[in-house]
Amino acid sequence: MTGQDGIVTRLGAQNSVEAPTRRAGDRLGAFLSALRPQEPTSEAPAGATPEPATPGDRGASAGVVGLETEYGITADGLSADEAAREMFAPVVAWGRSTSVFTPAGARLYLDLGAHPEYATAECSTLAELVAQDRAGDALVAELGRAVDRRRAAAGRPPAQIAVFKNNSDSVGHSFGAHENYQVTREGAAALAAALIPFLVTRQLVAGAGHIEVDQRGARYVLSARAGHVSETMSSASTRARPIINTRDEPHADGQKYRRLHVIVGDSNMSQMATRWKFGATSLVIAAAARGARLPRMELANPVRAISQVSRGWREPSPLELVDGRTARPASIQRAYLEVALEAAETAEDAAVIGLWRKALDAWDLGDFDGLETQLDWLAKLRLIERYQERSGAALEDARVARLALAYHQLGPQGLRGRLEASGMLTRAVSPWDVARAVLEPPPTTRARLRGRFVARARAAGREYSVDWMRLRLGDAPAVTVADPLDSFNAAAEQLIAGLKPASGRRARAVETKAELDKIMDRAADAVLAEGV
Amino acid sequence: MEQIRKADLPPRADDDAPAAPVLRAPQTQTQMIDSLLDEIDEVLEDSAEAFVRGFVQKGGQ
Repeated sequence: MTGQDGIVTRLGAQNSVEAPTRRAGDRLGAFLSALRPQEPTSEAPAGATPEPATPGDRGASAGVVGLETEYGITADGLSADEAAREMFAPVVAWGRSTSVFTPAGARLYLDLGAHPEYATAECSTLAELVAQDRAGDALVAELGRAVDRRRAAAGRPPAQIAVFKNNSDSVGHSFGAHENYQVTREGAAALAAALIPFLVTRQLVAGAGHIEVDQRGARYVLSARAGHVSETMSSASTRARPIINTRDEPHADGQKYRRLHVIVGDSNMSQMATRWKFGATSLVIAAAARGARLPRMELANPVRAISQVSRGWREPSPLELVDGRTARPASIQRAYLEVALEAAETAEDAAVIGLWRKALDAWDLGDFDGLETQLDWLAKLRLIERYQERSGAALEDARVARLALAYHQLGPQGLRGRLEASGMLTRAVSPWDVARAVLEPPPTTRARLRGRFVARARAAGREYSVDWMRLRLGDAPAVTVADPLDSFNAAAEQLIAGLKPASGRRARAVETKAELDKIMDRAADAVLAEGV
Repeated sequence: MEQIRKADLPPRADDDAPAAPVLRAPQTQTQMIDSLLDEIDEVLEDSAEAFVRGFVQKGGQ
């Protein structure tokens, strides 16, 4: 990302002396209630009900987190550049730029290599994060569909743009899903180093699965990104790909905080996998912030290890540690799970721990039954293997590659909506949560202020500009909201309250909805109507 | 001297051979997968080659 990229963060909740300390009994109670089977909510849509995430569970369990997803696109008779430009025409008309902040507080932009990109607003719960991420999928998919509506109106042939939430085109160019966690500046470098073994082996649960093809043939690997990692930590993001990107853009008080920018993760289709990935990583970070000692399992060669885990999953071999010991990937994960338990408090945390345990048990026992509704690599593998059985197609067959793309395709042509409707993939949030997240910011972070400011400034017909920290009306001095958890900042509230709906000539100008506003409405509708 | 916790220790060699992953889908699941594959069979048979080859984009980050 360029200088103004997606926000981040995770706050060690216990770094503040004011932070409420919960008694052990409360933690246990939360755990037990989360483990109890729950009634589906009466609101639940047809098809699979979302995994319980206890309504009203508003603990800032995730710290401050955000996810930036780069999408792949292809079109009929258009280059990716041309297709992206057509997709973003309504964005440019709306914000006079290919990079805008939406009324949901998220950033929608066109990134390097003509990749549409969506950076979620800052979120402080896993449910917010999952809903915002999925809202981004819906919005980018709708930008693609809108192209053919405009083309039809102009009597032009359809472009049939397909949008993929994956990490690789057909010749192996890689693009990413970048996670952000706010951490305290003090100790950030040591924390990052101590997280590497966790991030290398996290693909056992969070890998999206990938068909890797080279001169030696095709093989199914756990992670689409693992094969592109060439460094452990660096400031690079394109010439080389590190596990953690060290660019120092805190988007917060830089004296106190850093943004841990994890760029090794795969793009997950499964909401459960997305929730687990952020939940587990946040818990490990939170445990470290409370003084827990992270496992000492420094890998001898993290870059080699991440490929070894990804490619060698069918017969997992132990990874070499710097001190001469070896450890199995699942044992490394289990060591981090033990530490994460120390920070687990909420029902969301309990669900994360539960899936973590179940997945590691599966790796130990070699029996993954029941996990195919949660883990992307397994859900996709089952589809592929069954298709191969039926058709006799080899793994390198174009039909199998097309099937893998369909798993990652957004919109009605993609498989995810059907998989969720039939219960083959479990939802972590309801379609209503997602539809709301297309249009509204998460209520628990400063994104609430940004989203409302954008919506109100537009309704007032006023000139404005925003970035992750600042709100600015016309030429007036900007209001800065430095703390991502500051959802009720007095100066920002005052600024927003001063924005009255436009009247007269201005009112007529704002009454006509811009195309992007309609696209956002349609994206929310599509989530509810089609589950995409 | 810091105490070494159990979690820090590598598994013993005899723990070290987990069963090979069993990935066969149960029967009910296979039926669901089949009906999904039936729905998209045409798409896969029809234009897969051209579609897949057409998806080429510069790398991102």
